[in-house]
Amino acid sequence: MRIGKGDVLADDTNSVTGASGAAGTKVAPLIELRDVVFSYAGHTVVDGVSLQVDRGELVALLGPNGCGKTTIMRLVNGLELADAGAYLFDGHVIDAAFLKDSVAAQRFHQRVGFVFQNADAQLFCATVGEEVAFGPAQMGLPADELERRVRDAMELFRVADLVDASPYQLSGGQKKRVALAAVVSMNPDILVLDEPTNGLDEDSCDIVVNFLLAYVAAGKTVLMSTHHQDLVRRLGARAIYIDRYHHVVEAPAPSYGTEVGVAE
Amino acid sequence: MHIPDNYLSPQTDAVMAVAMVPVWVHCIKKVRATLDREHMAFLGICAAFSFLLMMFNVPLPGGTTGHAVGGALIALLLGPEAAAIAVSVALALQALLFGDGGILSFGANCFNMAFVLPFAAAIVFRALNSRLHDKSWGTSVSAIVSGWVGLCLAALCAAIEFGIQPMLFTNASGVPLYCPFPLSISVPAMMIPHMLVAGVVEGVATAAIYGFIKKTAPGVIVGPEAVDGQLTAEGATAKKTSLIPTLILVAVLVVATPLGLLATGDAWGEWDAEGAATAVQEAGDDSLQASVGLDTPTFADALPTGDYLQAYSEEQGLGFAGQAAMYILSGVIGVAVLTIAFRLISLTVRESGAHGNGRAA
Amino acid sequence: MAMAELPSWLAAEERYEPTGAQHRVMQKNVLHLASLLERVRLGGGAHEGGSIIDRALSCVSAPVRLVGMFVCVLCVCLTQSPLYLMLMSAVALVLVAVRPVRGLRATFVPALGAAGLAVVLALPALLLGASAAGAMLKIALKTFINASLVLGVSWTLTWSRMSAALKMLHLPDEVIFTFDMALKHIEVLGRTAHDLTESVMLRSIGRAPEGFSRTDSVAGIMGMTFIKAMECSRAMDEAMACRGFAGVYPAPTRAGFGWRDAVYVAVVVLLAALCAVL
Repeated sequence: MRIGKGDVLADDTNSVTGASGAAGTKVAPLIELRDVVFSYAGHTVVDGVSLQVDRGELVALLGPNGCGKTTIMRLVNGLELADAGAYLFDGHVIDAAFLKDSVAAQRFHQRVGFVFQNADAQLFCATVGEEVAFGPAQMGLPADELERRVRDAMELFRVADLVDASPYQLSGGQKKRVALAAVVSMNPDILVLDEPTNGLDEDSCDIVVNFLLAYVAAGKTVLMSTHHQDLVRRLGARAIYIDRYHHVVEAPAPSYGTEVGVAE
Repeated sequence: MHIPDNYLSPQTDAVMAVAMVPVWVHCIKKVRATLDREHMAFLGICAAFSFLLMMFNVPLPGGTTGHAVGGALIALLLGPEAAAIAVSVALALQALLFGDGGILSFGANCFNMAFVLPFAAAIVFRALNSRLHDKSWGTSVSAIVSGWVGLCLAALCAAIEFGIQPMLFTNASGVPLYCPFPLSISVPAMMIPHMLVAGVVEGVATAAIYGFIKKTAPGVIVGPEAVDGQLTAEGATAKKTSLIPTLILVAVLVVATPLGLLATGDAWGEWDAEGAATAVQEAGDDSLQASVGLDTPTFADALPTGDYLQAYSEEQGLGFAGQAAMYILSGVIGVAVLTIAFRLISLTVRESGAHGNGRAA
Repeated sequence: MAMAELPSWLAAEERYEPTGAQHRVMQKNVLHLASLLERVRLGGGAHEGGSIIDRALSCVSAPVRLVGMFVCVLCVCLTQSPLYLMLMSAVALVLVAVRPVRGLRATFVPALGAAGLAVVLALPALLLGASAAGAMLKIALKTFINASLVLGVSWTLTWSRMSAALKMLHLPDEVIFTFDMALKHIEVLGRTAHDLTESVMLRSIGRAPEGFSRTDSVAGIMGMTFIKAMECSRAMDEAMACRGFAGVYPAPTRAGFGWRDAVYVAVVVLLAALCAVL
């Protein structure tokens, strides 16, 4: 595992099934959904879903179209609030009251980095450089640190040469990578990615996969949704399958691929 | 019991208005903290009830008319603070839109009907119901008595406010500037009819409507019985039953309002200047002098919709059918405005039940 | 597999404490856009969003409703009778009062605002004495009634049927085409603006730094939406050409004059007759 010369690692618990802190004490999972129900326009989109993501895990949500994967991700980001059940992020209940507090909400949004499925919906600045700098610029970093982060993030995703380009002029793959860079530059604790490799060619896909592997190896957490089972295998992700009745069936990564019926 | 403008001195008006300010503030705070969205919307229906009940004039002994207020009912359903708000809003609507009750005397009217009435009723109800609620007739009797006591106390306050005017506010030659009747006349004149008739009407209406809502939509009650835990087990945990019977009752009351027109004669203390002068003469007491200050034009005189469009229908010489139509129209408008106002206000309070989904305030 | 080389700051946990600069503006924008979109998508009061009366009204054919609305507004403007005004305000108020809360807010509050504006504009009338003040209030009341009736129509008329209504009223094809495209794209562009606003909100994690104002992000959202609009219209043009569109807007088959339309027309005629009589 190459992290970088002489760099200090954070506490690393690259465990797939659970995390423990020092001396074996149980640490609260980073993401916990407890019997969450969410309806929209009279349809139940998320029906009593419970799932957990521990620190250092790479979890993939799979399921047919319309099963609620994107909605779950939006719930995790605080873009939607559950009609019933609870969502806890690092032990804090995320509800309307929590998000009303500016400080708590801003810290929350910094710790949870969300990359939309459609990169067009994510990029709103005039140039790629500004886009990647938008997040960290608000964190009160010194100018040189900020510059360093922006440069590092763009280099990670091979978009450094596009620093002065306008996002709308880019190809789909480039936009996706810029979006990733813009979110990663905030240094969130968890990356929530909605179909991260959609529309990416093989090279771009490789860049993203290599990044994700290193990211998780460094102790960060990733929650992603995808249709691609080979991606799940490549990443060694723990797969959570959601069926078309909006219920969760959890399956460990190696045995993914067997047909699972309705659960609960 | 609506006190028109000109009957109370500006000083009295000011004192009563100032006295009401902390009451309103306290009640608004309490209501915002305790009522959720569904109950706030129901408060609008209650305000509509109150508005309609005040349109039902009943003839009182002595040739005057009176009406129930409904403040006791709301106090039992949603608590006295909510009743204070609902009745105040209904009174404001009546004063502004229909000239029923003065603008300057708004504070006094609210003090009597929106403060004294509901709070007194709530206190009496709690005291009685705690002893009587296990009897099948217990709650009804408590409701009747609390309504009666509340209305009579409110009438007493109004009588006192009227009665002190000739004592305190006369011009240089001793002629009363405002209400011409002293306490010795105003108190019996108001109290006897209210104790004998109007209070009974208030009590019976309170008991009847409270019983009706308790049976059809018990989940909506958060007043004294619910607070004291005396709502029956089925009642308190019942799934939200429909408010449709209540809404139908409101509609029936609206259509029935013309019954309130059948009672001719003005309520005691609600005359215009001419009526007041006549009343002084009829009182036959030589020590009474006609007041000089009752002719001042008031806001109510200027309203084309004054007196629930009755002023307009007199102008047009409409028969009873026409008057009834006007009256119903006023009722419809009043109910609609109150419903809209409270439902809009309900948007600013938290959602009911588990659906606290609002992100922004 | 060759893993990427992570920079040191990325491998470490970020201990960021925000200073708590207010950022509610974006949240409110998101909510506002979301509610607008929902209204467009769900058709406002024509379906679950409306009261029983609203749903009954939305069954009446669109051109008939537009004409009826025009007649009612005209009657309210022309009447001098306080009774007729009371009647029409009762009608308008009842229509508003029975609506679900969202529809109530959408139709009542702007109407109230319009009436308030009318009062403000006519304030100089107070200087002219009591009768002029009465006229001022009358104008405000008429404005309120008309605004709430019109808003009620827009709330209960499904937008897709609006284009059909315009064709039946014999407006030029270009106008209808523009109107129709605008309606369809409101949803698409609204969704774009909404998503972009969410994106800004998710990345508004602290105080805007020097030389960078929040309006830049709003300008960015509007700019991207505009670009998206251009792309959409170009794509729509090409798609329609590929499917044989030659510039003539097809007229929808006439739905016919049903009993609901007849009832509606009867009510409108009654109101107009009352206006004439009173």
